[in-house]
Amino acid sequence: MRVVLKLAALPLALLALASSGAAQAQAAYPNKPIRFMVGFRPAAAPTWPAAPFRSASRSAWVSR
Amino acid sequence: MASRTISQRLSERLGQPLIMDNRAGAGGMVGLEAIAKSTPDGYTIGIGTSGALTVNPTLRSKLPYDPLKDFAYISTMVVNPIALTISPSLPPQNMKEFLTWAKGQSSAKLSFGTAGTGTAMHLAGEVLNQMAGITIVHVPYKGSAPAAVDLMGGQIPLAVLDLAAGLTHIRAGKIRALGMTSLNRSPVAPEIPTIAETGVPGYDVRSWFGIVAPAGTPPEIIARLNAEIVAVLGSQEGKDRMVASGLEASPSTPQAFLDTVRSEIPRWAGVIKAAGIKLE
Repeated sequence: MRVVLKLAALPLALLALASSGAAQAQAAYPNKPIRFMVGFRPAAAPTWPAAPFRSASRSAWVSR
Repeated sequence: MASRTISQRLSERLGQPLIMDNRAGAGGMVGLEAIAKSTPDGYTIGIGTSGALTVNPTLRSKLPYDPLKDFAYISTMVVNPIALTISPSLPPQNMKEFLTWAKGQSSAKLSFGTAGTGTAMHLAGEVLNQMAGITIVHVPYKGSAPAAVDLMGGQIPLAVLDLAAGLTHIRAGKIRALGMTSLNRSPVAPEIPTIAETGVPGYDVRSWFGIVAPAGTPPEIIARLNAEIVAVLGSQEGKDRMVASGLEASPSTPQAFLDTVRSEIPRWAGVIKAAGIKLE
């Protein structure tokens, strides 16, 4: 009976563990730079939607 | 304070820099394809436009992504305000006068310039045709700026322009704004009435930009990004910054963003098919 109870409690324990892991992952995010894709050329006319996101200090631009 | 950019604010709130990665091409589709194929770990996000997400599914025969399957929607970012404009040399002073005047004109004389085929500006003109019972004929340009130049030069009588390209000319009296295409007036130019309030009730065409991540990005990360973006764009500084750029800050919930995409895909499909719009 005790084994059955332990087995029954296992999914709850796993769920709690998973929730804890997710919470930790959320708390840790972000821990590295975030790539922000822009589908326009830097000098193209419709660049302005992204222009307000350009930063002088902490962000950088990569053109391909 | 005001000189700080939105990205700085977002970086500060997230505690990490944003690396802007330009993937230009095919009206924003190249960038969206790259997002769709990225690892869904929250470290790749980017801009999705109303055109690339809701118009191109009908307009393009081959789309390198599925708007409803390949993305996790974070938040709408900005609305690009658009106005129907007319040469000041023509008689109509407002939308009501324009509708009466247009119905008495030959359609050959009523061409409207836009930034290009399939743009929100083009669709705005076609929706006006369908809702107001007039016939204005599309002339595509390579951007709003050359369309504005030809409107001022008298080569075309009408243009549907985003305010980023047209507002300076409107305020200088070189172009007359008849109405905004959005349902509500724009904070960028609150003095311009909407088409809906001045002659075509219910008329509403918007061009927007939003922020998306690859499908499969953990919901808790989407929620975190949404919270920070909403905080930045919803702040007075964020709103002011956008208005100064000719844009309206329009943060949303992830669900509201997805609902917008879901509703606009069939809407634009109907407009495009009714107008017979094809990419050349």
